[in-house]
Amino acid sequence: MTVPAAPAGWRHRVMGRAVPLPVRRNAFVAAGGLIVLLFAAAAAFPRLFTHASPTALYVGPPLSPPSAAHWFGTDELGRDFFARVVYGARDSLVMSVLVVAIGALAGTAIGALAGFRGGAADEVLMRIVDLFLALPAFILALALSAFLGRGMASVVIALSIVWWPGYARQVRGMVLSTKHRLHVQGARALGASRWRIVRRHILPFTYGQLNTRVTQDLGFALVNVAGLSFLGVGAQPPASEWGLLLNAGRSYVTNGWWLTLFPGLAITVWTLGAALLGDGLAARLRGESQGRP
Amino acid sequence: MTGSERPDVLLRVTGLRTRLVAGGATAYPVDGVSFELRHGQTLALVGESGSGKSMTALSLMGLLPRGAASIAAGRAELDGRDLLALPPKQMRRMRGLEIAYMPQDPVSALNPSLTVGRQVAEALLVHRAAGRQEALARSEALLRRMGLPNLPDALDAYPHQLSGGMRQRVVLAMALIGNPKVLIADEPTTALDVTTQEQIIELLLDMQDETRLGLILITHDMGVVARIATDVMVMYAGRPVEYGPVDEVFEAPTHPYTRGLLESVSFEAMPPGARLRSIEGVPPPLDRLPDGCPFHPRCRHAVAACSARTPDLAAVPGSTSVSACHVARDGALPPFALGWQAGGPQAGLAGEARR
Repeated sequence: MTVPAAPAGWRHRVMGRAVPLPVRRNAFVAAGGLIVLLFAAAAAFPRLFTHASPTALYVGPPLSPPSAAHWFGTDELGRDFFARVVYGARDSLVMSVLVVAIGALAGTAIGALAGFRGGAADEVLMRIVDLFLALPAFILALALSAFLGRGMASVVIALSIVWWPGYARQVRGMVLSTKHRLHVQGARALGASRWRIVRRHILPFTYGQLNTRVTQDLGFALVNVAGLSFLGVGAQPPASEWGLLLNAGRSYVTNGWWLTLFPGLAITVWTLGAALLGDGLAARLRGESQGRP
Repeated sequence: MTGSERPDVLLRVTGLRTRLVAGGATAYPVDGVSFELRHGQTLALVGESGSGKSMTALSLMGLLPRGAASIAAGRAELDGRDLLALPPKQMRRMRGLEIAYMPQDPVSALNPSLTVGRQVAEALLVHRAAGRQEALARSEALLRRMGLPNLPDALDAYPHQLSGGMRQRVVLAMALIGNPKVLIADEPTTALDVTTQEQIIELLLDMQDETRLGLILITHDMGVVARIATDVMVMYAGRPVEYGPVDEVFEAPTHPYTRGLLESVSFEAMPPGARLRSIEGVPPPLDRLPDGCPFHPRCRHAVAACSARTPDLAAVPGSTSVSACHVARDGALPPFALGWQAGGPQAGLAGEARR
């Protein structure tokens, strides 16, 4: 009858204790984390990375290839392309973070409501989810943002609208499997309100899986955000959102390869970073659930 | 028992009837339960699985599964307020502070994502009865009082790090922290080994002495009943079949079902070679109860009247307990003998007189 002393700093953590992972896996996770941090830093403080302005014209000869002065070359108007890519991070990342945040929050709320209330509410909400999941999400988002008008806000709104159903479905399932546990009954017996029961006694069991999904989704959301901008419904010039850069660079594929390579690379590397990080969280979560009694 | 107007009745339940609708069939898993609980008293609800003990508890707590089960009739007055008639919001405020429930299984009764200290404090936080700091301090004090080792470190432990007995202490602390007047403990000792059972029973008795708590104990462990209950209500198929002071009911049971239960468990005083007797058959499905007394198909003493009329609880000649048995009411039950009797089950069960 002894209580192992809880390790220091060991608080309300659904992820729980650390489980040693194979070193290689750890390296991948670290790489993913580093990429995500680096890109986030570029989005928050672009000046840390470049002193050049992303919009100043003819700072160098137009369409000059990458050089020591202009790492990513210059575009057709002589703008420093490295600065354009760095400053573009803000638009791309902010939009994808918003999409995932809104999607995850709305999806979690709706899924929790459906799973906890059950009955007619569940039925109606899940049929709506089915409806969304049955349609191709990207095409739907394209149509929605075209309908809402060009601009970054409409992209965020359109993608959020197609983003939540996946979360709703997943959270509903997890709520259903948790809500009949005895400790939930116990919380009711203590007089906890329904809101508190959901928040304190049911939802914490979903956070582990949601963390993973949210992280991985950051990558997918960016592909979608850039895709919509590429198709012309998202960010508008002179913004340097990556999808927009790709689209503008398309005309110069033969004589200005760097104009498509670098934005494409940025999108790829960010997606890879998010996937690696999410993967690492998922692996860790599996280790967790195996280690638990 | 019933009818007497003693002033300190804490909880008075009259004619509780709970309806269960499932798959088009209607059943009454609790039918006609009445009892009185006083400060510091313990009422044991005993009976086989499905006899309505837990449903009685859920009915009183207002925790019946919504949509499927509902209160069909009855009153449950706690401090003059009828729990069964309270609007859900007000009933929610009673739970944890006035009437508390201790769920059966200490393993799954705890939220694995909350630390022990935080978990015990929950009842106070839920009702905003205390601030966070104060709630945690009170939870530590209560756990200390209940003999949880390794405090204050144990406050930061998670439930899976605790042994079964310690978890049960934590579950009990969760129920008691709001200083309820009535505690319903659902099989508090079932999942525990014998030594731990004993500790939990001691603890329950101590806490009850301290707080004058009215305890409703749901169990099928006759040993535990003899040890801590003051009154016992035996239930069968949702109905109370015998109700009285525990000494009376165990010494001279007046219902054949109670007798069957007592004959089927072993006692310390049992001589070597003595045999236990089982009750033949199984309880009837609740939606297809036999006519008359629900127990008559399994009853050795059944007479014609038993399949014709359903007996209500009534006084039995020569006993202070009440019994729902036509035969007992007519004084026609043979005297109770366990066959090996040496001072009755009380002698073997209790070992020491309670208090």
